[in-house]
This record gives sequence, C-alpha cells and structure tokens, in this order.
Amino acid sequence: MSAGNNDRPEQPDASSLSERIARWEAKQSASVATHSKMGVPKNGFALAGRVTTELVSGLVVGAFIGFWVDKWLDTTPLFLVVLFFVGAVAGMFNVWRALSGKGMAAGYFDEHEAGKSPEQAEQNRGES
Amino acid sequence: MHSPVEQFTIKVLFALNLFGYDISFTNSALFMVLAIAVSCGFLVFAMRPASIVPGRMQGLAEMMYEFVAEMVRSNVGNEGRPYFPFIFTLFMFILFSNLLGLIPYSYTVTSQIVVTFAMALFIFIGVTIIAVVKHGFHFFSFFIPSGAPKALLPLIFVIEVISYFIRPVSLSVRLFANMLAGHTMLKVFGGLAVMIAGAGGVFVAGSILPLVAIIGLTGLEVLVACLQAYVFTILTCMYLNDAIHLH
Repeated sequence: MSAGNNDRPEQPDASSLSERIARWEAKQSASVATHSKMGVPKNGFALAGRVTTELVSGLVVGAFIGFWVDKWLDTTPLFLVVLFFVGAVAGMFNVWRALSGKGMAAGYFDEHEAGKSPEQAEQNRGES
Repeated sequence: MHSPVEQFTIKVLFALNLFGYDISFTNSALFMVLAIAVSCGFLVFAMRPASIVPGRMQGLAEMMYEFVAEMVRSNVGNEGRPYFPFIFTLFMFILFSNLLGLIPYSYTVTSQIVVTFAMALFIFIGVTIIAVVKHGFHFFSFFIPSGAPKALLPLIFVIEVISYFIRPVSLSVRLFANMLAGHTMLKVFGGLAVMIAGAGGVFVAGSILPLVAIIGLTGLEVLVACLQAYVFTILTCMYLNDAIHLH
C-alpha cells in the first residue's frame, strides 16, 4: 500500500450506482422459484424427523378420512383399509417430492423440472 | 416423585362459562397471553430509541423483522407482502411460546397438539381460501399432475388430495412432537438426578452426570425452540407460495 493511495474502495460513480439500484430492484421484483429446497433441512437428524412426521401423518390422515367415509356410507372397514394404504402412498410421495427438490409442499409440480435430475433442477433455479 | 408428563397438565386458574361452553382461563391461556405480551413488550421496548445506528436490543428486533421479511420475500415473492404481518405475528408468537416454556415452572403452550393443530388448521383453511379466490376452479388442477397417464388419474387424484390434507397434520405434529419430546426428556433427566442422589453414599457423586446432560439438553432445547418456530413459519410461507403461484 503506497503512501497517498486512498485505502478505501473506489467510490462508485453515478452510472454504476444507478445500475446497481436497477439490479437490486430487478432482484426485488423477480418472481421466486415455485418450489425451493429451503424447507428441507441439511442436518441428517432434522431431516429424519421431517421425513418421519410426513410418513406418519400420511397414515393418520388416510385412516381418519377412511373412518369417517365408512361411518357415512356404512361400509366399515372398506374405506378405512383402502385409504390407510393410499395415505401411506401419499406420505411416501410427499417424502419423495421433498427429497427430490420439489419442496415440502404437496400438489402440483413443474413438469419441465420433473424430467431432470435434482442437480440440474437446482442449477436451473440458481440461474433464474 | 413427579411424573415427567405432569408438566403438561392443564390447570384451571379461574373458571369461566359462556353459553354452556367452558372457556375457563387456564395456565395454557395464561402463557399464550404472556407470549403475546412479552413479544409485543419486547418489540415496543427495543424500538423505543428508534435510532439510525441501532443499539443491541433494537438490532435484535430489527434482525427478527428483517429475517421474517426476507423469508417471505424469497419464498413467496412480492405478492406475499400483504401477508407479512400475519407471518411475522405467527413467528413471534411461536418463538416466544417456545422460549417462555423453557423457563422452569412455566408452561409450554406449543406442547399441546390442540394449540398447534388449531394454528395449522387456520393456516390450511386460509391458504385454501386464498388459492380458490385467486384461481377459482383452476385450483383443482393442483391435484392433477401434468403428464400422468389417464388410467391412473382417479388414483393420483385421491393420493394428491390426501397429501394436501397431510399438510396441517404434519405441520402441527412436527412442532408439538418436538416440544413435547424435548420437555419430557428434560424432566426425565431431572428425575434421574434426584433418584440417583436419593440413593445416598457414593451415588450422590453420580448424580452429576444427569445434571451435565440437562445443561446440554437445555442448550439443545433453545436451538429446537428457535428452529421449530422457523420451520413452522417457512412452511407457512411455502404453502402460501403454492396458493398464490398456482400453475
């Protein structure tokens, strides 16, 4: 560091400042990726807890709906058994969806990303 | 000897009855009121100086605000802004309920499934209403993944509907189970220390071990209290995002 040289970072001139403001505004208004991996914990223990609750609540919700449908239609135990297994499938589906980078959310996911590997999808999200 | 689950009993502080419904003020209600009062008091007190260069407390309050604001912005986008007050309130309420519950002799509101499930159900119904209002009948396409074989559609529809209904359950069970398990574990180790010390003689020295474990567990519980408040809030954001940005 020579004497006389200003130590502080270069003062940005007006044009680069307005450029930066524009960039910041673009970032603010940018639409977010529909499904992010943010809800999925990186810590293995936390991930195990997440996956377990998802699996168990699948069974519980399936059995619960089945129980009430049976009460309503008087078909005990047909729907209880069927929806118990469907609930298990839904729980596993949710876990798969979470771990393959489609977020913890149930429901629709992007078809274009479904064909790609999670790494590719991740890259895509990073770019957008 | 106290049972490790005795801490979760609801005690009526003063009985109230409204049109035949029991709405007694319990220790659970007391700590909900306390969580609201302490979080509001903290924010008002911390923001009192309102200086440009924040002090410690103001910095903490601003960090919490910006943390939630950034969470909403990056998970829901600009359309999520109207919902920020609700999400911030939710975060502060859960965080302070969890943290207040860690104080000895206090009561953990979020260790009751009724409380967490009521919150999760409210969010679930609210998010569904937002989705239906914004997208109308298009909302039901949410349950039909594109590219699925026609023959499998009825089955997939049922699976998707159930996996949609899993949301409030897994959201509430996650918070409730973490708080319940953590607090029970603290009490079990506490009881163990007392029992070992009660054996007398050389065993008294052995009661140090569970005490050390309690110190470690308390640290872990503080982490879990903050983490679960964060997880509950971020999942709310993601559900909101699904409702707003439906395909």
